[in-house]
Amino acid sequence: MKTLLVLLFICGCAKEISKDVAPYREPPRVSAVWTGSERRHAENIDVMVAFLWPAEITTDLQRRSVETAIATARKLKPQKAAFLQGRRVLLESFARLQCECALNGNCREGESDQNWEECSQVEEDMSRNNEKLVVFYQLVEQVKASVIAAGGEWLATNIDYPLLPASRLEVAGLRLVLEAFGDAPVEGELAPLAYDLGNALVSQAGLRTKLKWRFPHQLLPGEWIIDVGVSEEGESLLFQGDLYYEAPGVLRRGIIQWEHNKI
Amino acid sequence: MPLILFLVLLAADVHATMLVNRQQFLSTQVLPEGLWTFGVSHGRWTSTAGSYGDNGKLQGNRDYFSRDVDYDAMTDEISDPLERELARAAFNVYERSGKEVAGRAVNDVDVQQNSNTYVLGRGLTKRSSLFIAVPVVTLKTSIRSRFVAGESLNRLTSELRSEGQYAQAEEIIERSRNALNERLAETGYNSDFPSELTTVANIYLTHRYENVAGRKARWSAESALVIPAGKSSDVDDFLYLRINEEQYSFRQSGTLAFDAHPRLRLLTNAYYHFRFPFEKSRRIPVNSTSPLSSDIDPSTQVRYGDSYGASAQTNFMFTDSTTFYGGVSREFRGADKVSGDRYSSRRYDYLEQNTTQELDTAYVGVTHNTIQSFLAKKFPIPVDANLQYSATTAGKNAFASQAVALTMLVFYK
Repeated sequence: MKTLLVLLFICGCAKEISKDVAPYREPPRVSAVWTGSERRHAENIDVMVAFLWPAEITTDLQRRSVETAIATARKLKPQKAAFLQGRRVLLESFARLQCECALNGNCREGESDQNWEECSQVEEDMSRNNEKLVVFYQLVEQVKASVIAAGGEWLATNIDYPLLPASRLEVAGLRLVLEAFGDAPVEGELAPLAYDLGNALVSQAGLRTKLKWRFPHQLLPGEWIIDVGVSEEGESLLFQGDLYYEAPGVLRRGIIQWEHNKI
Repeated sequence: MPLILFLVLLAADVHATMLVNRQQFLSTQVLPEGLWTFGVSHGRWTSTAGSYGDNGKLQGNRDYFSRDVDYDAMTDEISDPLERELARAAFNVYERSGKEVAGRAVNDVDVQQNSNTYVLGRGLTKRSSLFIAVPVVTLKTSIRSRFVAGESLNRLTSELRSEGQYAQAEEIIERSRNALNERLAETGYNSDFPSELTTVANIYLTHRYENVAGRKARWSAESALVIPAGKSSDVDDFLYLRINEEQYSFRQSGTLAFDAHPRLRLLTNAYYHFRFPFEKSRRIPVNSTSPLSSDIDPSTQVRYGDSYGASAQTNFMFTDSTTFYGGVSREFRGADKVSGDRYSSRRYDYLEQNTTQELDTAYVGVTHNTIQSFLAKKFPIPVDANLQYSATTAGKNAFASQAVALTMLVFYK
C-alpha cells in the first residue's frame, strides 16, 4: 500500500542496514503457491479494492479522510480472515456432524440424521459468521467513502458490480482478467470497464515475487500500472501493492489489493 | 556543526570560517627594511579526539555527528508533497507521534588534514612588514553513515508484516538500507565526494607594524585581508567543504611583548576577525535534523559570524638562537546569519543553529634561528625554524584536535 510505503525513510543517512531490524518470515513465492502441484487457491478474485489517492492533499478534511481510509483499510484483512477462518471451522463441523443429512434430509449411505440439535447450532453459527462478511463489506464502503471524500478516485470492481462474472488471475501465464476496473456512463447509466491485461511481468524483489501489468486506460490517454506483491495469509492468497495512472505530465498513485480464497 | 561536514582548514596561518586548532606564535617583530623572507609551514591535524558539543561537553565524533530521527523529521524530508501527506497520515494511523524517535542516523566521521603554507614577506620600512601567505591543503575525509532503526520503527515493521504488508515492511528496510544514497539522489546532490582533496585555500595579505614603546615593552599591530581562493563547494555537493572563507574578510590584531627578564618574554595578543556578508546559492533545510534538502535559494544572504579571541605566550630564550615557548588561547565566534526570501525564515534559521563556537587551545614549541650564526659566517644560510605542538583543551561546537606544525623561513637581502 502506497500509504505505507511512504513511511519511507529518509532520515539522516544510511548506507548499511541496521542489524536490529527484526527478521521477517519469508513470504511464499507465487510460483509455489499459485501454480503447479502446490496450488491451492481459486483463480477467481474474491474481493478487489482499488483506488487512486487525490492528486494533492491540502485541507484538513482531506487529511482526516485519508487517515480514515488507511485506518479502515487496515481492518479489511483481519475482518475477512476472521470470516474465512470461522467458515472453515464451521464447514468442517457441518461435514463431520453430517448436517446435510440431519438438516436437509440429503443423506448418503451410512450417514446419520441424529445430530439435528448440534447442526442447528452450527447453522446458527454460520449465520452469525456471515455477519462478519457484512461488516467486511461495510468497511469496504467506508474506505470508498473516505477515498472519495479525500478527493481520490474509487475504481469500481466486482464489489460494485456483484452480478458480473468474477475477475480472475489465470494460472497459465498469470493472466489477469478484470471484469470491472472502473466504470463510465453508457447511455445514461454507469457501466463497468473490462480489461484483459494479459500475462504478468514477473520479477523477484529480494525474497518477494512481484507481478506487474501495464495497460492503456480505455477512456483516457494514459496507462494503468499495477505493481503488486503476493503473500499467503491464512485462508487466502493476498495480492497487494501500488496502482498508478500515468499520462504525459500526470502521475496519480493509489492502492490495489485483491485475494483468492483457498479451494 | 551540522551533519554534513563543514570541513575546515585548520592549518598554520590560515583561519577559515570556523574556529579550529591552528598554529599560533606571538611576536611583535618585523623584518628589517629591505629584507625578503620565504618560508613554508607544514602542518598535520587530526580530529580523532572527538568534538565539543553545544554544551561544551567533549564527545566522540560518532555521537557528535549522529542524530535521533523522529517521525516528523522523516516526513518533513519526503520531497513529494503527496507522499509526505500520506506518510504523515499513515504514521498517525499507526499511532506514531511526530516527536517519537524512529531511529538514529549514526555517522562515523574522520577528518585529517595536511597543509603546506607558503609565505613570502618583505620588510617595507624599519617598522613595518608585508607578508603574503598561500596555503595548500590536503583534506582526507572518511564518512560512514547508517540508519539504526529504533524500537518504535521495528514494532511498526512487525505490525506491517503481521498485517500482510510485507511489501511495505520491506520497503522501509530497503529504504533505510540505502537512505543516504536515495536521499541524495532525490534531492539532486552530487553523491560522490573526494576522500582526498588538495586545494589552495584562503590567501592572507598581512601587514605588521611594530611600535617600540620602551626598552622592555613593545607592541605591534597586524592587519590582514583574507582573500578567498581555491576550491569552493557547489550547491549540489553533498559534502560542503568550507575550506576557505567564501568571502573577503578582515582581521585586526594587536600584540604586546614585555621582557620580564633578559631570557623571559611575556606576550599577549587580541584579535577581531570581521566577515563581510555575501550572497550565495544554498540549500535550505526543511528541519533541524538533516541538512539535506532539494530546496535551493540562489540568493541566500550569508554572513558568517565574526570571531575574536585573546592569547598569552611565554618565551624562554634558552640561547640567543633557540627559544622555547608555550601559550594558551581562548577564542569565540558569533552565530552565522542566514536569510532569504524564498522560504520561511524558520528554515533559514536551521542553518544558523550550533554555529556559535568557543575554543581553548594550548600550545608549546621551539624555535631556532641561524641569523646570528649566518652573520658570524658560522652557518651557510639564515634560517628560522619553528616546531609546534598544539591541542584543544575546551570548546563548543568545535573539533577537539591535535596538531603539529613545522615552519621554515629563509631570509634574503
